[in-house]
Amino acid sequence: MSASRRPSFLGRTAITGVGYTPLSRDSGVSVQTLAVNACRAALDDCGLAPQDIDGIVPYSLLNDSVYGQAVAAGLGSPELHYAVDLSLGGQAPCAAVAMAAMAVDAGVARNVLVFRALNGRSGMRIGSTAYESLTSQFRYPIGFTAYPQYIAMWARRFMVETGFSYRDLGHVVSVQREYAALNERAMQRKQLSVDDYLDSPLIVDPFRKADCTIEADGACALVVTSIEEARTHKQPAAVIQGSAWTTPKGSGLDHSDLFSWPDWSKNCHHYLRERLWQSARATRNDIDFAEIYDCFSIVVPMTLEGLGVCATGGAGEFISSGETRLNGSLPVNTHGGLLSEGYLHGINTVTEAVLQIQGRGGVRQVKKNDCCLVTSAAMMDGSALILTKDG
Amino acid sequence: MSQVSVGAPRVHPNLDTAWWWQALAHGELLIPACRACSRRFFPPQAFCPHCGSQDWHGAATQARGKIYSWIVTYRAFAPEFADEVPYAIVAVDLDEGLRLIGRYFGDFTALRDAMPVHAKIYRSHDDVLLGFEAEN
Repeated sequence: MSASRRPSFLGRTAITGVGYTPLSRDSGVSVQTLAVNACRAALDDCGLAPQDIDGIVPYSLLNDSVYGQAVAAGLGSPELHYAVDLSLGGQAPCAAVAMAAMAVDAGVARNVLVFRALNGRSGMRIGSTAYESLTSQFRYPIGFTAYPQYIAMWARRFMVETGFSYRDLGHVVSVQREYAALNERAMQRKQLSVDDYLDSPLIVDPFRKADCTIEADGACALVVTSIEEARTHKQPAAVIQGSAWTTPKGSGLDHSDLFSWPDWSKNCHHYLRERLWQSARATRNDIDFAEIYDCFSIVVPMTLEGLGVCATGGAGEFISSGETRLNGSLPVNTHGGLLSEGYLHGINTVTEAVLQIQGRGGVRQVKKNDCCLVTSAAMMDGSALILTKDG
Repeated sequence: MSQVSVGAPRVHPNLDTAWWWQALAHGELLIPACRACSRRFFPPQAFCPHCGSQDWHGAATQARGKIYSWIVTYRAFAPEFADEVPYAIVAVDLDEGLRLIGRYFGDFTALRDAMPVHAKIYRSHDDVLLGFEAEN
C-alpha cells in the first residue's frame, strides 16, 4: 500500500483539447446533443478527428447524462477500446482524467474523451432533488433534504474549529466574482462586495444564495493522451504530474452519509494530501495557481487547508487579504469558480486549469502558469491532480 | 422536471434499519453496539463498520449529548417543509460516542458548540422521528 512508488502514468500523460457548450438555464436541446457538441469542440480544439478517439469516460449522477457510447454514436461511431461510465458527482472529474490517463499509459487507448453533460437547471436539479439512498431515510423525514443543508453543516463545524467567519465567506464569493467579470462564459458576472454579501438573506445559515453554485444546462469535455501523442496535437500539453483519489475510513454508505465521518471541518483532501504531493514529487510551494472544486463557498478554504496550501485556521486571512486574486500570490478559481461560471459538476474546474497552463486564459491569464493544483470533491471521497507545462 | 420521487418526507426503512425505526416508534432510542470490538455505529447496517463483525446488538443509550454542528433552514428545499421554516437541524455527539442528526426544538438563536442536549422523540407527518432539545 506504500505510496512511494510513483504511479506510472504520471509525467507521461497529458490533457490537450478542451471544449464547452454555452452554459444556460435552459439549453433547449437534449443531453446527448450537449455531450456531443462539447466533445466535438474538444476534438476541434486540439486538431483531432472523431476517428482518433478510442476511449470515452463520462460521469453522471442519478442517470442525468448519457453513456459514452451515445457520444460515440453522435461522433459517427468510432470504435471504443475503453468506455467507462462513472456514477459519481463532484468527486469524479480529476479521477476520471486519471482513469483515462491510466488507460492511455497502459496502452489500452490512444486518445480518451472525458466529459460531463447535463440539463442541470431545466432538467433534474441536483441541488434540491430528493433521491433514495441507504441513508436518506435518516435525513429526509426531518427536513434535511438538500446539498446546501449538508454542506452548511460542514461549514458550521469548519467555522467553529478554525474561526472562519461569515465575512470570510463573503470574501470567497467576492473574489470569485472579480474573476467572473473576466470570464464571458460565467453565468453570474455581477460584482458583489463583502458588505452587500452580508446584507443578503441567509437561506440556510451559515449560507446565503451567493455561497451556492449556479445550476446549469451545458457540457464540457477534454482530451487525455500520452505525452508523445500530445506533442502532435494542436494545443500545448498540460502534463498530468500528480494524482490521488481517496475514499477514507468513515465515508459511510453513500455520497451523503455524514454520520460516520469523524471531523466535519476536514474533507477528503486532508486524507489524500500526502499521496497527492508525493505523487507529483512536488510541494505546496511549487504551485502557481489552484482551481478548487466549489459547489459551495466553504469548500474552497476547507480544501486549501486540507491540502496544506494554507495552515489550519489560515484560509480566512489568506483569502480576505487578497492572496487568491489574479495579482495575489496564489490565484484561485480563475474562471470565477462553479459559484460564478456555473455547475458543470467540476469538469470546468479542470478545463480552466488546462487553459491557464496552456496560456489561453485571456484577460484572466495568471502571470505564472507552470504548475497548478486541481481538486474534485466537497465531502468524504474525492480526487485531485497536479498539472504542469510540458518541459 | 424529472424529479426522482422517494415520497419524501416519509420514513422508508429497509431490511437493515426496520428494527431501529420500530424501537423509535415505541419511544426507545437504540444504538447498534458491536460485541466483537465494543464500538457503536450508525446508521444501522448488517456489519460493524469498525471491524466487519455481524455480532452486534441494539444497545440502550442515555440519549444525551452535545451539539457538534447546526444549521437553520430559512428556505424550504422540499415543498413538504414550506410551512415549517425557519427550523434548525442539529448534529449531536452522544455521550456514548456517536453522532446523530435531528430537528432542534427550542430557541435556535441560542445554539452553541458543545451545548448539552437530550433526545426528544416526536411525531411528524405520521412518522415517529428523533429530535433534540436543550438540557436544563
